[in-house]
Amino acid sequence: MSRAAAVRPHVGVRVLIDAPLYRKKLDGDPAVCGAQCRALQQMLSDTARVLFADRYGFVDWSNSATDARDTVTVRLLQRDANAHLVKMQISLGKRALAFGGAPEEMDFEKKTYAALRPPGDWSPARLRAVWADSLSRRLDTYSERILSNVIGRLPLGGDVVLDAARPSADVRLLADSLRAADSPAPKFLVRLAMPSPTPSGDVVTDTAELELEGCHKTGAGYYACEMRLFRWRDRTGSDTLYRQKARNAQVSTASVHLRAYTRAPRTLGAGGLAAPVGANP
Amino acid sequence: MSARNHRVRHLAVLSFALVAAGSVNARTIVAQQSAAQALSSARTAKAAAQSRLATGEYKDAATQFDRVIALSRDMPANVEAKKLVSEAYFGRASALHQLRRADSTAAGNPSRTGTDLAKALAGYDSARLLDPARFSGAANNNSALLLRDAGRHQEALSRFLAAAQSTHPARASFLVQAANEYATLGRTDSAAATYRAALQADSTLASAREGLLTLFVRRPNPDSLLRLAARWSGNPRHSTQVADAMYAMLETGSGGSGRRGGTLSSATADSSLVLLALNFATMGLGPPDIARQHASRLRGITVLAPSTKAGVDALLTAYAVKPGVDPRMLNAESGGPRWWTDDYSRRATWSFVLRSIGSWYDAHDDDANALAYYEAAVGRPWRYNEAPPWMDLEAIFPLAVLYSQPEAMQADPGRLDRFIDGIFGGKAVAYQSQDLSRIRRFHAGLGAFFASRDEWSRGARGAVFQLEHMRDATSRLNETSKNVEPLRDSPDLLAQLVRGYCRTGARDKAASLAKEVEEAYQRLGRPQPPTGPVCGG
Repeated sequence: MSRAAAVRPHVGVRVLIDAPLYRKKLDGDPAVCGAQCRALQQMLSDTARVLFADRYGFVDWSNSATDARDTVTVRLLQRDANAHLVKMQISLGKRALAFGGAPEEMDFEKKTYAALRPPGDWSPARLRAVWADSLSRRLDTYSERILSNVIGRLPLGGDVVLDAARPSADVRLLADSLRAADSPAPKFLVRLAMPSPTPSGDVVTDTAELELEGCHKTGAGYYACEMRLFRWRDRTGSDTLYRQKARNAQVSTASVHLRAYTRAPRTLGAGGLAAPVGANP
Repeated sequence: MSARNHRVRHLAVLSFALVAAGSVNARTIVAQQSAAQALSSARTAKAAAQSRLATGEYKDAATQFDRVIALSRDMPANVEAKKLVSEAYFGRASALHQLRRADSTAAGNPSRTGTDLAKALAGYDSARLLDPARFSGAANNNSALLLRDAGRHQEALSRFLAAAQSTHPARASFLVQAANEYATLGRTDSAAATYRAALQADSTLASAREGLLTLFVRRPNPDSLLRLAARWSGNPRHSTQVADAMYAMLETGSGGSGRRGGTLSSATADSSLVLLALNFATMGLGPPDIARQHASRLRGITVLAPSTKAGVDALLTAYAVKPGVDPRMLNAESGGPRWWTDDYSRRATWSFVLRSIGSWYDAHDDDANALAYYEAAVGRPWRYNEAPPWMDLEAIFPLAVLYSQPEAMQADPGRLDRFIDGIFGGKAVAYQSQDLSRIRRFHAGLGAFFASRDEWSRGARGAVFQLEHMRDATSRLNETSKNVEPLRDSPDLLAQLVRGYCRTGARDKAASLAKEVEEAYQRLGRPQPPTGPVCGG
């Protein structure tokens, strides 16, 4: 449905093999990604898209990295040719910096293990199978960090209404459109534009972050949540700090993001509706 | 009567008879044509209904499904017609169901919606009665959702339980819904049993895990919660949920009442903090993650549960973005925070936490801090020159690799050997106490390290020896614990052993083990593409 589609950001995925060790083993030149390396990048990009789509249903994962506004890049790199680790870095494009995103890095393979791989294993098809598995396990192991700093930083198409009197907020996103499980319920991160006067009388607007937890679906199909952590400049506190800073200020929602997310079961449709046996949910 | 008249009369009778016979045939033909026409119209109406359903035009979809149902009177009594009608009943119920939900979104309150609940329920029931094998699970579940949203929880429970009796692929999710209804109705023991049944049907179901944890947080049963949390703490897929449950317990301060400032015993509070830290490590969180997401919350806990203060302070020191103390001091044999180091099991958790911080620095190319935290994790320098029993053995491999880097070897040429000697010493202690689990992990760590150095056949200082002994310990462990899921060695390590056999000329062993490795990858759902001959021909 169009309403649902508008909520989900449209995002491409690409895998880049920058590690000199891999480039050399694949095509003989540590400085350039040659034909084998490019073929592997293409295969792994498709694999990565499937792995992301499987985990993060709140994003509309594009088949092409070029037609989407945002792209998630999975980069296999070494700090230098002698580094003992090949690392995996997951990042968003420059636009994500505006949403507080930061690349996440994790170990991918020990250099010594890669060096032990038999020559016959350095083919795109074989490496795709082995690395798809490595990638999948890292997405699971570091899911908290990846969601918190990268994928969850993609802005959702929705608004948040903060309660002026109580530590609660309505997240005006249709729950079904996120493809989120009812339980564990999603948690949200709201980036707020916070105008504050300076001693010279000017008004400076900077961004604060408010975490919303304990969310439940309302009768209207949206989420009602409780305010949790509030971060502004170098200060972190509860809703009390938010209230203190928001007093007499025209606070507005800059963007809405997911802070924790569990995909709804694939065997069920939106809202837990089941399809008959033999039909697609 | 003349002969002519007689003939005319005979012909008239005959022709009447023929006309009458023809009329019967015609009626049959007309009836058949009408049935075929009805079937065809029903097919068209159903296709139109489904397309409306897909585009969210629920009202039109329901009307089209109504048409299919109305046409059923004229349809032939065959399998296709029965299928069409049952699908139409289910489709109409789904359309009304969705319409009801859309209306409630618009109205903001489900009770205000005018859509006919009874008609939707009747539709699901008709589909279920016409074809139980196909519709029983889905129709019961969807009816239950309608009833639940209408606040009729007892009826919803019965329907969810009926849905769970079906063979529908979402059976485990139906059990979770039933458990939720039990919880809503205040029947917490039944709820717990049903969540467990759901996990038995599908162990990956996060909602069942969440339900069980929430249930134990809400009712005064901290022991059950801690046991459950401890069991799930080693798996990163469950860590967020377990951490949330521990926070809930510590922040409500009750383990039961759900109110802040309740009475949580210091033993329960301390155990909750230990499990919280264990899950930070399992999730691989680094200093920035703790600073951003957890530091403020942890400080808040110390106010509600003062017994955790020293533990929280040490945890925040260890996770400091810029370490203010030498990380080695966090777990030196003489020193280190007593809250974490006085007790054996806490010290094991502490070692795991420090190792995970080391891994974070390792992945971020900060070798100096990685090394310092790994050393803190293993408690170096060792007082008795052997690895202590609380040490996280996962630190063996990365620390040995860092010690073996050229710069590290230059700085202290004997350090790697001393470390490996200490690991052998710790392994000897594990053998003396017949701690098979640790014996196995010592062999795995040493085997991985020697394999990474391409050292295969130097007796105990070779990968083949260590990995073979790891396999031996695994099979002995499995013999002693028959009733639990058998332990399996990592196929990645076994693949190293295959390589070791090849390098040392044990081709038969390599071929036999290669088959096992292939099966192990298959079992894990990670089938590997075929390779050439095991030892390269």
